[in-house]
Amino acid sequence: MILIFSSSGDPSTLDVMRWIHHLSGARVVRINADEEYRVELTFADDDFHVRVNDDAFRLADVSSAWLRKGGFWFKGLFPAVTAAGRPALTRHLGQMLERENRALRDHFHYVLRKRCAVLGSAHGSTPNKLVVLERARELGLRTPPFSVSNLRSHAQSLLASGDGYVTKAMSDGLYLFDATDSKTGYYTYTEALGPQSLEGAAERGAPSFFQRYVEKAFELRIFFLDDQFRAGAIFSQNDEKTRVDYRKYNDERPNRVIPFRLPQEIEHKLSLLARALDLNTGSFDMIVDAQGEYYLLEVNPVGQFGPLSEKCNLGIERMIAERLVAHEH
Amino acid sequence: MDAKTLLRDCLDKYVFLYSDCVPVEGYAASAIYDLTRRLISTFPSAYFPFFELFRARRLRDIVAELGPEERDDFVAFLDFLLEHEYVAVVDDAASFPAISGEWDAPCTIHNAILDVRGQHHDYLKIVEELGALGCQHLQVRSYSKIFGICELAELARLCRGSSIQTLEAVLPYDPSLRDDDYVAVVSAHRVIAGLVLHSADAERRIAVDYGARESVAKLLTMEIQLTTRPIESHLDCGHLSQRQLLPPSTPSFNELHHFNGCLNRKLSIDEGGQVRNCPAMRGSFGDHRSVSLADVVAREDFRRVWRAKNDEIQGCRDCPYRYACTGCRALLEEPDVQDSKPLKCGYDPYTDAWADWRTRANATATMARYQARLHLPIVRS
Ligand code: SF4
Repeated sequence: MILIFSSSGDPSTLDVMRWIHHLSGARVVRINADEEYRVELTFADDDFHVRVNDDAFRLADVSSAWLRKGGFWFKGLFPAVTAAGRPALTRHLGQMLERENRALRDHFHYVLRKRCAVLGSAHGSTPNKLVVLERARELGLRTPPFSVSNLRSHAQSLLASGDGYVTKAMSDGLYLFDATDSKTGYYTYTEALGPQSLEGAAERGAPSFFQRYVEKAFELRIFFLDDQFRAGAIFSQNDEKTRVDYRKYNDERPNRVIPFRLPQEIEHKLSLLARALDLNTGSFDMIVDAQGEYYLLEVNPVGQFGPLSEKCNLGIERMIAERLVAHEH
Repeated sequence: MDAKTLLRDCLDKYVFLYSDCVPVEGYAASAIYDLTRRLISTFPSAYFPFFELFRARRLRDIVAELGPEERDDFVAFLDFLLEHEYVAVVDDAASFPAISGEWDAPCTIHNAILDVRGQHHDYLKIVEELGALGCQHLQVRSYSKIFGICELAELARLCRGSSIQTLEAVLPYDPSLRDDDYVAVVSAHRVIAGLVLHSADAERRIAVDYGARESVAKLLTMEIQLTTRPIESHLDCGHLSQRQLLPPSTPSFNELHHFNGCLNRKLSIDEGGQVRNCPAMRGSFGDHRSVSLADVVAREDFRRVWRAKNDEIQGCRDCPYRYACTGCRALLEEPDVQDSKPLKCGYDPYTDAWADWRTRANATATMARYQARLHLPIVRS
């Protein structure tokens, strides 16, 4: 049996499941982080019994698991507790339940990893961007120089250097698509640092992440699964509107995405980096400048690979399905 | 950048045609398929050999070989390529391999057609068996009032939980129903991705917005389309005009190199309940009630037409649109010639001209022959 943890709107999950059904008769149980289920669960020794709505299974049944999206998947296992008229206690209890939830989650992942082939990052979270950049440098991968500071004077000196900098979130950035309420999306982009960014800023503000802007010839989106790499080059430089960030692309002239042959040396270093970060799948974002130098920007363990796979005919969904099916007996 | 600048500053570089822009050679006109922007543009086939030169030689060496009158044409062609952002200049294109031409999809049957006229089919059996084959799209075409909006709602319910992602319907318009009745059924079943009502009182559209607002609403709306045109039988299908070409994408472009764009992984149940490749094609594989669809689909003689790709069809093989055109194997210019060009195609690859197919010699006579084969017990309200 194959266990998939995802979220309800993820199109790639559906495509991978189609391939699984097409290639094998394996049973698939999909659990979405954003859906409420009737969950029954019992852990004993190193086995567990789980029933999610009508799907019941034991750990011993699971041959592969794919952690596609989300954090912990059994939502609402710990019902909220309210102490009437005592907000401080209510808050405290809420935090305690959160810790209980996390302890259970960690144990769940531990036994899952021990007993079956797990694809994806255990906690469904992005590795710390700053740590990734440090690690990359240790392995000899180039990264654009960066700094973090809460001083306006620091930002001003960067501006004055004339080199060109961008600023972005240190963590995941904001990506919120509110489908229930206002039906609007919000997300943060990589923005160029300009004089207007500092307008009205106090001398000491929130710490911000600054990174040297590298004039790119093209960008690379690199999907990896174990030691297999599939890369696409994204050409966005021609278009004023997408100079800084590819995600901000415009509809009339979408950026070209074409297959790219990664130099062996870069592929090797990326594979070491993935191992150092304990990731067996994900995507790297890199840029290549006019001189042919490669710079690592970031790694995303749960990125969308669908458009890259389709446009460049990389068969990523099938690769994942084959990896998941391989452990069926 | 324009061609003049290029010829001044970049003579020692190679002209690189981005690999998502694929040249397709035709007889009079050839085309570039822009697989990212999903557009096709054509140019005279005389320019086609330049693509080979671009790969092999630096710009300087290409220009050196040109005669003085060829030079202007070359500049014009380069400008055309630059304007569409089909090309860049590079020192070395070795890092950019071509997009792989392989094609496969995670389904045994991709789409199915169900025709209904005088009798109902075993819809439950059909949906269950299509689901087991991974079928993603189902189209139902009704030529009589025995299959109307209530029956569509029932079919949509059957599709729930199956592999079928979209259900499209072509139904006769029922004047006793209000617009709201149609909207109610469509908005209650998200699987219904398209509804056309034929034989209607006017050409118009009814919007279905699923209750979403503002910018999201735009993404979620569907329109029910009403047409006064009576759609009387499967012979109304198969029109191939410029408007009907598929906007090219990597998967469809690749699929059409290997397979027939209309018939590949398709299964149909005609109005008599017979299993066929297409309702308008001869050759039945039995009544759907008595055969298993999986068994039919496994048959080599059922799959044979899937491979009738445009590269092997008269005329089409010289057509620059052949990897964007679904073609048609049911209604042919010469009904008895296996690799004959589709009857309802308006394009002539040898003159690069589009015309109404009916104006072509013998076209109406051939259509009449097809009509004579068919008995139409039209059940009209
Ligand atoms: S000639 Fe053939 S491929 Fe070209 S448009 Fe007509 S039917 Fe399609």
